[in-house]
Amino acid sequence: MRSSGCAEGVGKKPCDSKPDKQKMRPLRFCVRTTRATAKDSHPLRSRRKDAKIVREENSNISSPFASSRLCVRTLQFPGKEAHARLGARWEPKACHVEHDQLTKESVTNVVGQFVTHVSVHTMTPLRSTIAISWNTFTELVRMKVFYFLLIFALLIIGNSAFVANLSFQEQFQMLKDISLGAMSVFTSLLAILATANFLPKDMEDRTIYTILAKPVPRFSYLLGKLMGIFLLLALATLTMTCLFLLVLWLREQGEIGMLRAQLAGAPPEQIAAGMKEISGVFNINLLPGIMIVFIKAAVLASLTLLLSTFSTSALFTTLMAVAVYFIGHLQATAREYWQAGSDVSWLASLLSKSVALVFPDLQAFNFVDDVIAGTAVPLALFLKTAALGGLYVAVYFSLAAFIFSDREL
Amino acid sequence: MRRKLLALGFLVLFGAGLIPFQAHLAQEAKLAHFRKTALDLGLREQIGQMGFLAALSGFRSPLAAILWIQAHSAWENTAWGRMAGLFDTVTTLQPRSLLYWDMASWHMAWNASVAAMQDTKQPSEALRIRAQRQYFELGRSFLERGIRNNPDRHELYLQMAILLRDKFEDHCGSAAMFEKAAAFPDAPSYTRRFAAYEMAKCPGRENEAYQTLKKLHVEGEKQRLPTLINLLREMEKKLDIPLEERIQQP
Repeated sequence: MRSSGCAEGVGKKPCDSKPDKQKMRPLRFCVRTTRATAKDSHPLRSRRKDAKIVREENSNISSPFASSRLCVRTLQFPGKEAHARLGARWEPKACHVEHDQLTKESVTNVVGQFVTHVSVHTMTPLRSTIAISWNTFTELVRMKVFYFLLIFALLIIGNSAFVANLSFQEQFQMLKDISLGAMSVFTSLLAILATANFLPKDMEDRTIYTILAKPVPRFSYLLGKLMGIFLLLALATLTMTCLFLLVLWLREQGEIGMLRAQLAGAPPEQIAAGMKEISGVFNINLLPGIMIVFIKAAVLASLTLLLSTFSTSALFTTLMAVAVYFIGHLQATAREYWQAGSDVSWLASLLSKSVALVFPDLQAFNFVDDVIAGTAVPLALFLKTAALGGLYVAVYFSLAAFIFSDREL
Repeated sequence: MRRKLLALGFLVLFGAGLIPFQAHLAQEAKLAHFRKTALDLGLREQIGQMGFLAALSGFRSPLAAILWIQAHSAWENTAWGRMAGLFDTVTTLQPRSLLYWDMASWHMAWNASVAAMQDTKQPSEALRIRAQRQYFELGRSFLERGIRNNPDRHELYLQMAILLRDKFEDHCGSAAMFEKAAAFPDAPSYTRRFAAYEMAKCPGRENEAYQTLKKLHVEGEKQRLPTLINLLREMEKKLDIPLEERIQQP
């Protein structure tokens, strides 16, 4: 039987009332002593009619990290030996368990005249993962990590001051260059810093001990944390994209208005040609490029998670992850160098092989620079790059879980 | 420790298994004109250690933008040499950005060349003309490299044709470039007309020019611009085209 860990927060509530589904409520339980009723559908009903329910406990454990329900019922059979099979079919109706969502373990204990049924319904790893990821996300939001978006906004709006003397084509080019480049770097930094921090912080705050004392597997804990960071990265990327597109659209509309005023009375063909040049500023190819920016950040987050499972401090993890970030951008060069089979020293050869084998190819996720220039992203290339990103995330996370499962905390 | 070593071993095996896929992906990206920047020692010398590090870490486009703004300041101060150096770096960082190639070429071939010709500090006219031609060549060099990096776009072929026509008076070369640009489906409709105009000035291609001009004339009112009609009449006279085959007088 799984430990319920339900020893805190006591409140009275009738057994037959519906349990509250809110996660942050403290533990509730009730104790009831009553006689069994004729509604009991057990085949040994005649014997159960004589039984007296001496104890019925319905404990609902709710926390951000786990949700378990513990149902205990003790029956007393006067003057007779209790029958072990009696409890095997007992379904604790008072628990109102959602069987499709919860796993259940039941134990029946027979001591003399007493039969005690204990049924523990524990939250599935999926639900605990979701709870942890949401908690991680809200925690990161409360840490005000989104303040960096202000810097991003200042960058893309403020660059107008530097490019005011340039032609409108150059202004749009600058806007795209700076915004998308900043987006790529900010998401990567956010992925590294947010991931490097959470494990040491949870250990320092001792939160990790509380969480893992609940029926939450370490795998679910790590997965939940990573999902929370992915959620944060997705929201950050989405916000930056919206901000960038809004500024681009406003600037575009400004230019169109100016063009119309300048070409008032000109032939429609001339106006159409001018409009075509301006309205070509927004390129749909920017979107796959931005999606790859997010995937790259997800790869970096899972890589940082792997590093943090064996490191002892956030600083070490951050430095290692930043180093891997730079080396990862050189992986393709090292791989090509190795595959070219150049006549080089054994040390250089060993170095290039090590880099090619151990580090991820982060240059493969660098679409933005070329997308800004108007290069179209072929669908096959986009899908294969996304698959490569997914593979990296899966492998780095699995290795992180493998190491963390054995780590002494 | 055992688990960490096992994990490292798995990571190496995973990396080895992934190499063919990574190589295939890199090849596919190159075919789609991605990652053409040569991040080599030459670039490191141009942009310095920090710039090179930034270029390596996916900060290539903002770095190019910053250098472009610097080049614009250099233009305001008419520091042509510095401008040429900065343009070289910017185009190396962002070889797929047509705007950078186009503007770099234009600044060199049009602005810097005129400034060189009007340089009051240089008393020798011969040297001024020489400097001017060097800037023309520099402009052409930018466009040539731009075309090599962007063979799938019509814009730079068009600019090259204009440069050859206006600065080098190489009408045959210009016609060839206009024709290359016109072969792209998204090229402007005037490209074909311009190709025919230049062809008419290219010795040995007069007949071809006449046929092209006539074909354009037949296409409809949109192509029948005064320049085209006048040139067509000129060609008819020059090539002694029979009267019944000539275009009708208005």
